[in-house]
Amino acid sequence: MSAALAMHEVRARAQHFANAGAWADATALLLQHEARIREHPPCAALLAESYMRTGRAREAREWLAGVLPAIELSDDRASLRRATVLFGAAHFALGELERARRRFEEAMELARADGDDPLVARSMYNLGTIANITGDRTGALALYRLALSVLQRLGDRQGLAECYHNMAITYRDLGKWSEADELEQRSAEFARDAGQPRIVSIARLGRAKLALQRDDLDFAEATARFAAADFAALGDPVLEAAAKRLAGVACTRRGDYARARELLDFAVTRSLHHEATLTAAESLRSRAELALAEGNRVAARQDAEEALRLFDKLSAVEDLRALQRWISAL
Amino acid sequence: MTLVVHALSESFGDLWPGLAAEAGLRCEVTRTLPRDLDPTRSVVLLAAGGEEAAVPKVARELRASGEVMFAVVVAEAGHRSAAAALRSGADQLFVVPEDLELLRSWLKDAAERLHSGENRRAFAASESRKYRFDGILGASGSLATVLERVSRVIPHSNVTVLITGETGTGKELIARAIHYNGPRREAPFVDINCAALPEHLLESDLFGHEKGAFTDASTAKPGLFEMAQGGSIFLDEIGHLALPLQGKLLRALQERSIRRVGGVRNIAIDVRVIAATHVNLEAAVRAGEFREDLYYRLNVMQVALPPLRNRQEDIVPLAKHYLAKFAAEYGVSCPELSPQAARALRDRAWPGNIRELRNVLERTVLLADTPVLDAQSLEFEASSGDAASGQGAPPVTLTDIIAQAVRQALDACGGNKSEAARRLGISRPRLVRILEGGDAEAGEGR
Repeated sequence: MSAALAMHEVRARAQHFANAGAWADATALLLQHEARIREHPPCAALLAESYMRTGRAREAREWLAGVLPAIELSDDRASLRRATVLFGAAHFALGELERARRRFEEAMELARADGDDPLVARSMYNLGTIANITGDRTGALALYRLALSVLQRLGDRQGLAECYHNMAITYRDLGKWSEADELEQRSAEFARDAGQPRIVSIARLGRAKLALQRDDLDFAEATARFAAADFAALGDPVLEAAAKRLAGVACTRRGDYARARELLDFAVTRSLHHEATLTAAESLRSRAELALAEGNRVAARQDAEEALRLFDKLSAVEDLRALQRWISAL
Repeated sequence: MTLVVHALSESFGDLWPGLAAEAGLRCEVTRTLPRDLDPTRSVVLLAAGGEEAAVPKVARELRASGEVMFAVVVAEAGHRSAAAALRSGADQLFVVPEDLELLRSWLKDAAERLHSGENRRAFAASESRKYRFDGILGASGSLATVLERVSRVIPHSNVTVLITGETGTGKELIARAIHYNGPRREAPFVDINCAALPEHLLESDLFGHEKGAFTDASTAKPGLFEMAQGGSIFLDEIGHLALPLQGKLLRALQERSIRRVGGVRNIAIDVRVIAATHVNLEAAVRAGEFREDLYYRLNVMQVALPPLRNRQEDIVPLAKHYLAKFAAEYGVSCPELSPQAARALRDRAWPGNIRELRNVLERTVLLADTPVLDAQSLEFEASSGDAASGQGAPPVTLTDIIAQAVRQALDACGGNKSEAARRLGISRPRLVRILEGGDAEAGEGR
């Protein structure tokens, strides 16, 4: 009994760290007892989560590969469900999408058998995200719809807001803009109900992107400016930069170059300062387009080549190729 | 949320407060059988260390008192006594200290279930407020008739409802109002647009599939009917459902059970079906595009939503509502409508109905720079006629106009015929006939 209680103390202390967001401390503590926690499913799952929360997906994957058989043999279904979904998340973070999909499917089946609705929803949602990434948009929408029904059953407004936003992105990718816009509005509505202003602003940003695609430039600029002000108030400089970039693109297309310059300079400076590589690359590309519209090919090439370097760093192949074509046409 | 420990002995007495605290529960220890427990707020441990023989009798009494989650904790248990405890109604049995970690996990799980039940009820209550009937704006006689009709169907939770009306008239809003004001409000409201998916995907979405049912079916997946269990399923654009699926839906409605694609067993479903369409289903039945038996099965209670142009007295109150709503959302002051703006709103035909009105007013709130809106401040959406006139020579005959509209819709939908048909408000087979030039009725503008 003393060994069990001692392990319980380890778990309680590690959980305390985890609850406080001190995941590095939780990891360090659990690693001190690594040999013993292999036989203790809740702690084994907690170490995997600590690895994931500290960006150590590779260690999480290796750890889970070693301990999952023992967890499967235990009677602790809750830890098994948790470990399985974490295994999927580790594969996902490492870009191993097919393995991630299989683990999330296992997690979903375990969760359905045990009536663990939050995990059913999370697994469906994760599977939807994988389907979307792999280009199976209709499959993604089907999974998101299933997740929505579980999230409603759980009364999880934040989950509903996030799921509707993801569905909106999928509809946007399918070119169904009015459906996507309706879903962004629904996402914002649930986010407001859930007291999640950041998700409200993300949905607003989504609507600005849709308006740009519809060439509704006034609406795009106005919505993006509102989103930028929201993100500034929320202390999120990267998303503020992303929103100002969109407003800047709308101004460029409308021919309002002075306003576009102000917005895009801000987006580039702010995103580079915060090392937000993707936003910086997109902002530089947008500023290059502005420079070209103004007739300044030298500045256009300069920004575009810097954006190219950043897309390359991100391995964003499609953006990279498109920008290369754009530069060669300069 | 409370952990109620019914202690038959003193054993492990020092464990309970700590276990309850870890699970986020309040602890209450009692020596008498707890009665009238609220199963939505309590979980029970029957603590019987050293008093194992009494477990079956007390467990039976506890189970008889209600649906509360409860587990038995003992110091030792043979397989016979464990089986007896579970037969008596306990959800779980733990032998302490060996099973202490399992007991902790069970309690944590039980606490999460109590919390999610509470969240579910709070969610249902807030959605009910959002979709309450006195919150649906409008004083027109036509809307009052609709709402009166809807209010009669709400308590009858198994009655199928068919909502008809043009695009943008608020069919989904009414469907949600029926669900969230009715007895099924704590279960999901699941919606799907039948026009948005190809037939085989829609079938799998609605009814689910078993592992291996088709190439990509690497795992079994439930369908929306199963996921809506206890709640409502909203089948939007039902007029676009392919004929083979119409047969399956009819069977589901008649038998109140479904079978997954590739499955062999029937799964009972307890779901209210709410269908909606902007297609004239009676005409579709006459044209052989919609099954008559399904039409009658769906049309138990029909709710016909009037277009906004037939609710002229509702337009200005609705406009004021949306102006206030969007002003609050964007944190700007609410503009007022000048008499000229109000007249312009009333005079418009609103082909996109309430959705179009809402979009116009959101743009106005965002872009207007005056506190009082005149008619020029309102940016109306271009009608489909406006868009068509900008492309190519004007068509000569009605047949040409229809064919051109179909081709434009098809282009706008990236060649997706189902989607184009949905947008045009005609069935997919008819769209195909028009494209092939073989639609005899096209010239009649049906």
